[in-house]
Amino acid sequence: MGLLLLGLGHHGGKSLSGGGSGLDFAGFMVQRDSSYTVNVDNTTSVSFENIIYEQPAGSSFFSSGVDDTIVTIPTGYGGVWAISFTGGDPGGQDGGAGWYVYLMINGIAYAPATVYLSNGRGWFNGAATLELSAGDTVAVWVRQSAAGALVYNKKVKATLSGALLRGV
Amino acid sequence: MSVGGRIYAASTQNVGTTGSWQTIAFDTDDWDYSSVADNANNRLSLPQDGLYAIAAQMQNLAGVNYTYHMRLLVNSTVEIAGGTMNPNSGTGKNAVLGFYYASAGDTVELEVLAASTLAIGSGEFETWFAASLADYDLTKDAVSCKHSSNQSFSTGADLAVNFDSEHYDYGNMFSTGSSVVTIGTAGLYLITGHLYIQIPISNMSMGIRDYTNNKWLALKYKIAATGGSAFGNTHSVLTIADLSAGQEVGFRAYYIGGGGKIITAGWSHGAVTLLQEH
Repeated sequence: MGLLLLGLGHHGGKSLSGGGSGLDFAGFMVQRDSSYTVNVDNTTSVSFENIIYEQPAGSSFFSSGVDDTIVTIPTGYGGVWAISFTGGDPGGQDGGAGWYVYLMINGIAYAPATVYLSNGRGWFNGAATLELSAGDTVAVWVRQSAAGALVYNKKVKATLSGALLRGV
Repeated sequence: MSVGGRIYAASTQNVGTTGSWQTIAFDTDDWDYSSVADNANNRLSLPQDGLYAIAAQMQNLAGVNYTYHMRLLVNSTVEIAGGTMNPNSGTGKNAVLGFYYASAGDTVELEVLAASTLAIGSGEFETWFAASLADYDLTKDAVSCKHSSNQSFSTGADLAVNFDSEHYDYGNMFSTGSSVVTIGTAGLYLITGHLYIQIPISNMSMGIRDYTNNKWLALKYKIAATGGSAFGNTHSVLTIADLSAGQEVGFRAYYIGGGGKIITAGWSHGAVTLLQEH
């Protein structure tokens, strides 16, 4: 089914009007730009605010629109996906060390990440390339730990983007 | 023709003196297809509508200020990815990756923020900036490899990460016996790796090695420990590379410190994916 959709459904009529290249694109980018607090030792699924783009337009990567925490791969767009995830506090004022940022696939950590920051400010940017099927979900979770000298809450900003590179 | 470019800084530079975001300067093309490289303006120019993979690596040299933040910024407004590096000692390397659906003529810059003067390293494999169109089809070569069991390594050992099994291998690129990916189709590739080290360690590095030319395509260098967490060190390494048929690449890791450490199966992956065929 997926092969049929990708092989036929997305060619013809979807060529780029500007370049006429005939290339097909599928991807998304969602962002949390206004920071919010994550409590010590509390794992939180990032609630995104802004859909920067979804391609093709209207392909429903975000089932609940803005303020959704989960990206869902739509029917017809399974395949090899490259995912970029950024999370943390680039301009924070809080102290401590030990940020954890997780790329979650179907609610399970696929690429957990850590960033150590002596002044408590910073982002983690991670990358993963993996096969996803229609209906699979992608999310970013963040956590800070009480380990070390961490005593303050932190504030989160996050970006999640992905590109389908190979259909199946 | 492919659409993509890679530029690098051939000269060192100092940034961050104002405590505000500064654009990193680039002066040399590595490769450029369809006029993506725009060294005159220290940026990449995206020449046609489409979805792009965009990545950059930056080396900081020894200095007073070690911690710095990087970000990829489209049209001087849209922040598509950001990362912080807090190297264990004076020098370090970090990379970031993002995707963006661009309109023809959009531009992207690499910016850095540091609290005080930060010296930025130069060289083809030290401070670089790359983008490639990232379309999809049904035939692209793509491999993702993993561990079937944990892997131990010792201090000072520059170790090939022993990815010995596959998630998938379209194009038959991966040799489980050697942990080497051999490129089948010449083109622009996205390479991403993610390693989980069980115990937090300092001075850890991980990289993507071009075995054919004996060079680091990307290197995350001198990562600091995580502050005693039971979650260990977990980090990504990434690049966009112009690779030839038959070229061999793989993932490596090493650290300077005491005792043996373990790369944990399950949360460690490496992937090589064709973005655009030449």
